[in-house]
Amino acid sequence: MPDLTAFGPLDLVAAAFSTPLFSLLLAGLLAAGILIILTRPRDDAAPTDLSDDVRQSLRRRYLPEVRTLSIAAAAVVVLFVAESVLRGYVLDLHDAVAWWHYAVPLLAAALGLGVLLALVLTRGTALSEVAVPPVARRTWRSFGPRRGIIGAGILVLALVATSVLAGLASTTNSRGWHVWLEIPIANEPGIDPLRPWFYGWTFGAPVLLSLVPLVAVAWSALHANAARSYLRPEAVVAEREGRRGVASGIVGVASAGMLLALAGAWRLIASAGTVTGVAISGESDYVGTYEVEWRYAELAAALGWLAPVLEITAFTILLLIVARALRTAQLRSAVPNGADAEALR
Amino acid sequence: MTVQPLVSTSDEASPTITIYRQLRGLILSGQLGADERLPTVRQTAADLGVAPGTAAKAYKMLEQDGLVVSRTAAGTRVAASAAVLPGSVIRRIRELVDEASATGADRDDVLNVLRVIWQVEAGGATP
Repeated sequence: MPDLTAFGPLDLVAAAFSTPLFSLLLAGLLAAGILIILTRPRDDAAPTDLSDDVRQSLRRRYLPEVRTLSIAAAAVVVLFVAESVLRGYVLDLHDAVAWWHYAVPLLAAALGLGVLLALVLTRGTALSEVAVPPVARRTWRSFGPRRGIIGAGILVLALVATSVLAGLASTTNSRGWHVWLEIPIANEPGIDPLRPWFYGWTFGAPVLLSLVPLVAVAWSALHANAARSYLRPEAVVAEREGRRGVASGIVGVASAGMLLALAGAWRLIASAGTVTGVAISGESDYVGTYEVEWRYAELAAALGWLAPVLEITAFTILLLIVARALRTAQLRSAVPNGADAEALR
Repeated sequence: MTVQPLVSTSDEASPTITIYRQLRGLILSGQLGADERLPTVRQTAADLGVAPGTAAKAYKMLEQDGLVVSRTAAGTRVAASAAVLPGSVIRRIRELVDEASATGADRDDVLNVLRVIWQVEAGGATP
């Protein structure tokens, strides 16, 4: 067992942050803190003056969607952790290339949002009980959190840029997988270049391919959520709140999936790009220690430090989405009729 | 050449006329701003429970009246000459109303504060 006293505090912190599971732990604490600090009783009574029939209709339409979103968020966390644990500790994959690793959170998010989309298109798109004349055009952006949508757009660009640029920088291994980064030893052409594992096309291409269905299904879910008709005129205010809640959940799950994929990619880029030297021993003309440096080493190191931040952000978003459904269920069991307003948020 | 009416004038209670009047009212009362896109024909039809063709006829009537302008790919937009306020102002007013409703703010308080701020920001001009 290693002697922990041999390491400094910074080493220990760096070691802790080197695993996404530590990020999940921190995100759990952060989400709990946010829930404790920011949770306040909402006293706006806008939807509570609705009749029982209207409340029932609203509940039937939006509660299953809030629950589905929380299940989707939980599924992203569970699949991400399960894949990490199985790949790292259970299955013997030392000789295999886990090309799917970085695409898993994207596919999990796409799957969850796909189920939500199906739910919105089937159970959530009933005809109006009383026709509501349309005022403004309702599009995929109508109820989405503006900053969240901009953030998700930036994440799409970051993920595409990372995958393409890293893919272009990668080289193939002996089996033809694009999983290496070639770093030549400066001024020593006789020594083979260093070839650490890298986020090459083998990892980036599945990510790009998984990003397409995620973006498509998230956009479709936002559109379907916004475009459906309102149930009746007096429920429009409550329904807007409900749709905002659903839209923010959609953007949250999609963004979290992208954040996890991006964090994983940045971790691998950092581990490859921050290699600093090679020592050659034995009987060779080149015995000695050689310093190597990838020209983007500083950028890679910065990405490595940012990766845990992305993971913590992603897990916090997902845990807050899960907590929202749990809180709704608690409120409903405690106050059967008064919880409708909460349920729609 | 004479333009054929889309709907017979005797058919005053037809869904087309009803939709036409509703949208006309929205434009003339300022609820839809200049250059703002109208809901799609499909959305209007779904919201009101009518066939898309019925909603499309109402849109045509609005266009004939010069209240909206239809362009390919740009959708149907409120004509600048018919609108009361620019679309950007109307969008922000809607956001204000949404936010005020969500936070439980009193309508009269919001209107009073809006008047005061308007007066201050506009340099003493009476709204």
